[in-house]
Amino acid sequence: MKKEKISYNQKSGFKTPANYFEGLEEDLLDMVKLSETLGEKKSAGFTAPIGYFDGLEDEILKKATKPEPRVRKLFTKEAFLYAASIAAIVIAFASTFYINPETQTSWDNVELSVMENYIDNNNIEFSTSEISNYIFQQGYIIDDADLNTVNSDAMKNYLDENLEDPLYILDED
Amino acid sequence: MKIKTSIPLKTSEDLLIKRLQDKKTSSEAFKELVSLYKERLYWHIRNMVKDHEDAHDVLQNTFIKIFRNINNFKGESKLFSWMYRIATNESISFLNKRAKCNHITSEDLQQQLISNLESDVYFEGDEIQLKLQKAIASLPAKQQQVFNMKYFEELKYREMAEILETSEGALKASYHHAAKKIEEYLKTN
Repeated sequence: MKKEKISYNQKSGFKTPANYFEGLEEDLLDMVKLSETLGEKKSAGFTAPIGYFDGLEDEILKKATKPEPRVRKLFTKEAFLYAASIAAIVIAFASTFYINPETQTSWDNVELSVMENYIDNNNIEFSTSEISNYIFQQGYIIDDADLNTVNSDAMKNYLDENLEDPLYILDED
Repeated sequence: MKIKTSIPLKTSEDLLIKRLQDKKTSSEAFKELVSLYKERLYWHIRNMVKDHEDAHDVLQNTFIKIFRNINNFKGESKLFSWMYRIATNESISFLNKRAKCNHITSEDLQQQLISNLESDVYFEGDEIQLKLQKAIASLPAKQQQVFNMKYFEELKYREMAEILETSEGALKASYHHAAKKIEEYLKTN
């Protein structure tokens, strides 16, 4: 026997939201149990004053359109610059009194290697005569003008002891 | 030959947003918006902050924020969800500030709000409704929110998911846990 064909589309066209059936049993059970305990009434018990909602639109609009109060900075850029300048002056002034003299920078405190690097990097240009005016002794730079007062015999002995190349020992005059 | 053009039909919400974003029509449109949502947002806030005066303050702040930020609304979610989200955030901020001011934890503040209900002239709940409020206050903050929105405000999970930016599955689980705890609380207390 031939099976009769259904002449219309079996699909109803109805749809459910995605995941609609997910957790539906639990949801219904919760609802039943809560209604058993709390009753059908779902009110929280809160009330509002009579007529509270009347005219609320105008009240809120008035507040919303009220210009926002301008926030003025306590410290403007100019005030900050003034304060910074004054602070700098005070620090400079105080430093002349309170800074420990041992910590003051002098030629003698500068690391020799730092100074050499500085000169090697051509950060400062010395003429040959300028360089010849200075010699390094025991890690300190000294002006050869200071040597004018040194006894020439003592100088000769010093160079004799400290220089390996005898060519550098100059004859007297 | 006639060319078909597909112009999307403007919904009333789209038109309202457009009017809100236009300086010439913003005031009138805003009044309409407040009129449409004032009650729903009020009860949403009231369920969270419990006290009428506090709910009034938070409602005003919510609408002021909506008015001042309507130009930033990009239409990525529904206007309704966006407004509910602002109201929810304003209520949470309000409660956090209150707890901080009183130097108490959020849990202690919840208990304080519930004990105030007994003398509140704007709370007309009977014994079981007061007990229900106590049970809700004993839940974690997120479960309280979900329970209030589902049970009292009867929002759909889809709407709640958009407002709270959570999955529907997570909300269903959260509501189920909350309902179970409330049942237990009501039975044992």
